[in-house]
Amino acid sequence: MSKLILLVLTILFSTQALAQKKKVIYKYKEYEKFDLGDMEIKGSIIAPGDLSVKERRRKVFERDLFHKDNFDEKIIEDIKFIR
Amino acid sequence: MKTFFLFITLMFSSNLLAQTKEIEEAYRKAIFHYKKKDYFTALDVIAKKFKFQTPKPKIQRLIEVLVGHTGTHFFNTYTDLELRKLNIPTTDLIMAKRNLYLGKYKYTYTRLARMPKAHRLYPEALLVKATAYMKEANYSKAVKTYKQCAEAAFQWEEKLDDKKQNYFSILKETCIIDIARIHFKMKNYKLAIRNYENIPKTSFKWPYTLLEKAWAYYYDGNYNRSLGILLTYNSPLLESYFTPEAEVLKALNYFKLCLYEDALDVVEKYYTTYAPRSNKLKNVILNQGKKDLYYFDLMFTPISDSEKENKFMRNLVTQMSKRIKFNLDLNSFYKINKEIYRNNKSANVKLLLSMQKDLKEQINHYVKVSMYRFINEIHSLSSEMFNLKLEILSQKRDLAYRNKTFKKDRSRGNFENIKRQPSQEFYTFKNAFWADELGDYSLALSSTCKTRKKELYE
Repeated sequence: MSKLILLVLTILFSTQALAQKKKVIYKYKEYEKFDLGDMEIKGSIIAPGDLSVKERRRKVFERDLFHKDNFDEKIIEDIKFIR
Repeated sequence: MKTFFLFITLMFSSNLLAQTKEIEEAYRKAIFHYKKKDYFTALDVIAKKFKFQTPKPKIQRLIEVLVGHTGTHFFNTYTDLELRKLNIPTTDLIMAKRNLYLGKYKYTYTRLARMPKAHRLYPEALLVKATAYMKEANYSKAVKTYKQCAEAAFQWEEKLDDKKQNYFSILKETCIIDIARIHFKMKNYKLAIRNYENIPKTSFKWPYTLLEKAWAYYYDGNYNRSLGILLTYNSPLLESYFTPEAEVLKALNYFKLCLYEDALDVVEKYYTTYAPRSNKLKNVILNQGKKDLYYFDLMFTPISDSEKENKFMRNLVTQMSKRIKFNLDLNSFYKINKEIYRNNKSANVKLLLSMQKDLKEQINHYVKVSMYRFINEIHSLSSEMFNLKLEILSQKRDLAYRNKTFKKDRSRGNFENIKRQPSQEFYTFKNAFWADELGDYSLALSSTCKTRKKELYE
């Protein structure tokens, strides 16, 4: 009998414990120091060491210069100048 | 009732009879004045009777003959409705022109449809008709009609002499130039040039074709030839034909050859020489122009005097004095004068004086408009020059940013750069403008547009 009661109680407690949310506590480092000078990067250098600017194509703005498509006005003017 | 109708019929017939009698009387008077050579008086007597009714063929013929002596300016004040009533080729042409200016091409064709082929105004009618086709972008028909116009004018030119021959000669050349202009518009520059070359160097129109031909060479990419043609305006013979547009085109040609310093020189010269001269002309006009008939009188001032006032003024007066319109108006003016001083008792002197005043005002206005147009052109083109200057500076800056420079330096040119037709001979220019060489010059400049990387310590 006592074994049965113990089993029931154990099942009861374990289900209750399962139903409860697990509380996760994150802990961060309060202070961390990086020594950049001490850091070492592995690999080969592919860019020149001195300061450089990549050349880019400049936008070319072209002005609308004086042009002559036709002489239509002159044709009419010539008729007016006849008489 | 019958009596009433009879009365009405009688009234109308007597009215009609009186009207016919009045017209016959006017016709008789007109013939009388015509015989006395009072053409203007005769035209006024007969034409004013037909503002609201169409004259009989014999009267139409008389009006046509009279207009041949007086010129068409008599009808300038007539409305279209009044002109339509006269129903003669002269008034048809005037109406066709009015419709052309208003863009009513359909009516232009209608008015010209009845123009007789043997009429002296037929070539001019073809010119107007061809222009209407051109305006409607019907270029093939326009070219065909301009050709017909040139042929018709040539036939008349062969028949006549003196001043009337000049009129047909200029008409013929106008039609040829218009063919060239259509080819230019259609970007057939070589064909345009070929047509411009059909204008003889002795023609009054020729100096004006130079600029248009230079534009055609410019768009054809022959900048050296274009520059050479423009340099023709530097010759003493063509000094009077200075046009500001030629300077702009000159600068553009240098720009296209990447000769930026030469282009900037032209721009600077425009600002330092032509702009102030034009301002001076403006001041002269503003001060003197208020005088009554100032511009009319200017046309008869000796060249040495007008040159003293302003160099441009002399040029403009010379150019205008050679235009057909001015000469036809002047011709009418002298004919009216003759009619006044003949002192025929029958002549309507009051009418003649008022017509003469009208003509004077017309010439005065025409000269005034031409002068103001010239000044405005100089000013509007100066902004184009400024635009070009900015473009040159911008190109120079771009070159500097790209660390580049032109491959070649500006040199004196090389004969290899001259493009010639098989028919063209070559002579070197020795600082003298020979009349037969005018308009055929070419520079030999090399294009410097190819660039190279600039060296560090260059």
